Amino acid sequence: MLITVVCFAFILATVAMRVLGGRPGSVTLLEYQRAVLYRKGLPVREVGTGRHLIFTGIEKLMVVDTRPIQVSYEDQAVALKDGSAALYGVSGAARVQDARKAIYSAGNYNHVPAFVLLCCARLVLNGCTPAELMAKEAVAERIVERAKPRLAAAGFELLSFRLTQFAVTQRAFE
Amino acid sequence: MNLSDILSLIFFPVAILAIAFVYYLRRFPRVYVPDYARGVRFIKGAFRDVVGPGSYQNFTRRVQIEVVDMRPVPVILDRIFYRDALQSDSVVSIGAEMLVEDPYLAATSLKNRVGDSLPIVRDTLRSTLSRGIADTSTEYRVKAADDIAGAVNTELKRIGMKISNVEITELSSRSTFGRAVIGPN
Repeated sequence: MLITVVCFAFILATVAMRVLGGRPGSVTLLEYQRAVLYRKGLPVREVGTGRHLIFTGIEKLMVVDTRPIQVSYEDQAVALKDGSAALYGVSGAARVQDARKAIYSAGNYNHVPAFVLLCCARLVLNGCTPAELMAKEAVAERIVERAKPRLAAAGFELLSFRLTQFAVTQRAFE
Repeated sequence: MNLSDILSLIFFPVAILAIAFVYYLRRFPRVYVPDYARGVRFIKGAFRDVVGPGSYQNFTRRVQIEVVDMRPVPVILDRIFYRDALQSDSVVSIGAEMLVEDPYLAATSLKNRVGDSLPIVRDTLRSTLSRGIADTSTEYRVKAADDIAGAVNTELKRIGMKISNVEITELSSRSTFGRAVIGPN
């Protein structure tokens, strides 16, 4: 009789768990992963490397990869301040520093560093004359100054940035 | 008939029903809606309501929830050529964030929310800037960005989308410099 009661209780508990909260499960985060634990759709806390037990029905781990995201674009064109045009290329790397900010920064957080670096590079270069562009390092520094706070606000850390290609042409509207 | 027999009589049908119920539920996975998304609920194919964050278990095939991500999507529109009010060739590039304003409209009127919105943004941007005289000053850029955001959002509202944080990253016009500097074209 005891066995019957225990089996009965077990089956009822399984059904209740399935309907109300899902079954217990685990997620293992690797050393380069961080995650935010969501319970009933709301963020609860950030979790790091290791094995984490969750109720799969009501809890979910949104995993963020903290390995560097590489950005590389070549043959981009921009009009300069004096009306001439320049071809340029950018290369850089950024990584997630704040998992929660990164999750909310964009639908796909991997696109944020490229977006910020391209916008900042184009904006700075558009305000430069060909003479100013001779000091390539100074221009890159101005782009970094602009990009760093924007990336930090989105939960990223800028690791490197450089202008890889540069050539001034005379035809801005072609 | 003792207590053990009565329990056995109850246990077996209930156990079979419970196991069948759990097996039945496996066909309806839970829908998880995080706080940065909304769920558009359809019942028998007709729109019912928009649900907020939470975990939703459907018990029948009549109920469907489509999760709509409300987070911004960064978009760059590169080197859009247009003619300003003085008929001068001009070029503009913008960076902006596109996001869902109305989950129901976005879910039902667009297959690819961002991709299908971009032509509208590009056309509206061109028509908005064509009405003014291109100027490379910071004030003009800020004002033009506001104008673009306003005009584009009016167009995108009917499909449940909007743009924000519009930034003009490049603006140049022939009228500012003259042909000699720019070269033949």
